[in-house]
Amino acid sequence: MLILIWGILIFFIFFTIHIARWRIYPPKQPTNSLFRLFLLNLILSLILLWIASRSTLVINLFFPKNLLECLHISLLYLSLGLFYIFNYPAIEADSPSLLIIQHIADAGSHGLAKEELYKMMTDDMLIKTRIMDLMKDGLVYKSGDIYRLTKKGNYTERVFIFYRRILNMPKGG
Amino acid sequence: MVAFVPIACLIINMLFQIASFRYILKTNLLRSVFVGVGAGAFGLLIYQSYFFRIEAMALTDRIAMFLVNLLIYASLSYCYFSFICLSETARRIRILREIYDARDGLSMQQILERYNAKEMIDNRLKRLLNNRQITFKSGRYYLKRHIVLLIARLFIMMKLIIFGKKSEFD
Repeated sequence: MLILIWGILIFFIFFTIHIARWRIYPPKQPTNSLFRLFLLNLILSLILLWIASRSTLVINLFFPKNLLECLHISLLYLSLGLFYIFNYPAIEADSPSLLIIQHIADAGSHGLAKEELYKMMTDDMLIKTRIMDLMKDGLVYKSGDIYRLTKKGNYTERVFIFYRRILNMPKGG
Repeated sequence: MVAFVPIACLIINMLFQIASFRYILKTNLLRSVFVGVGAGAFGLLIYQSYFFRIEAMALTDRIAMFLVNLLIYASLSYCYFSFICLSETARRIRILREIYDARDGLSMQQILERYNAKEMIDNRLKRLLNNRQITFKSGRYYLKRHIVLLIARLFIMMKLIIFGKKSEFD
């Protein structure tokens, strides 16, 4: 029971700090900042939990008793945190599929033609914004008029190419 | 060692997903994801029942431990599913791929020749039609199911909580 409670509590602390930080002072590199906050929160929480569990007070009954329990708490927190971090880009940027669904739902019984969607969702909105994001996250840089991959961008792309080769899949997007 | 069980189940999930996609389902990616998740979940159930047989624990602790491992497994499986979706549908990954393939980099014009809003809308309309979320009648698209619309509203709610706005363009 302790593992469940502490894992969820540490995640809740991360989530609360994240919302407060983003509302008060939004970071310039959100994904990197989110990941750093996520790891920092884990390290600090585990140190505090470990110190508290070593204390001789009665309250140490509510803290993990050994390293294995700490590890289990970390795993629960890591999985919940990664779940959120994987969802974060879809929260930060408007998803084209969800936008299409919203536009079609708004059109109601009249329905929506493809040409109307083309007018509502342009290259500026769907492509150029994502290129800016890639630059912000240090995956792409611009030299003159040309966009090139940074080392980090190259490495990221190779991971996906490797995976798509395993599955024998064509280009996505 | 019980802490590592969800990770072992995630590996089972990945192996079954890859094998079923490569050798059986081939074009149906979503179904291969279900196969993988099911195989991993089955592994988790088998191990948990074995563990509870050999380990004396109070009922509440058993339920809590099962919940913890289920939460870890479900979250990690979702991460793997998101990774598959990223490689399949994410705009950023597709743009990275186009620039990577070009080797000498691309100008904005060249990127838009290879990947643009029209292509993206066409791909997504096809997917939404295949998944029966929308229908197409007399040249117009209509909403069929409300699941994706509910997800869209959930994301808007999250945007409001985190950023205080409904859209990145507000």
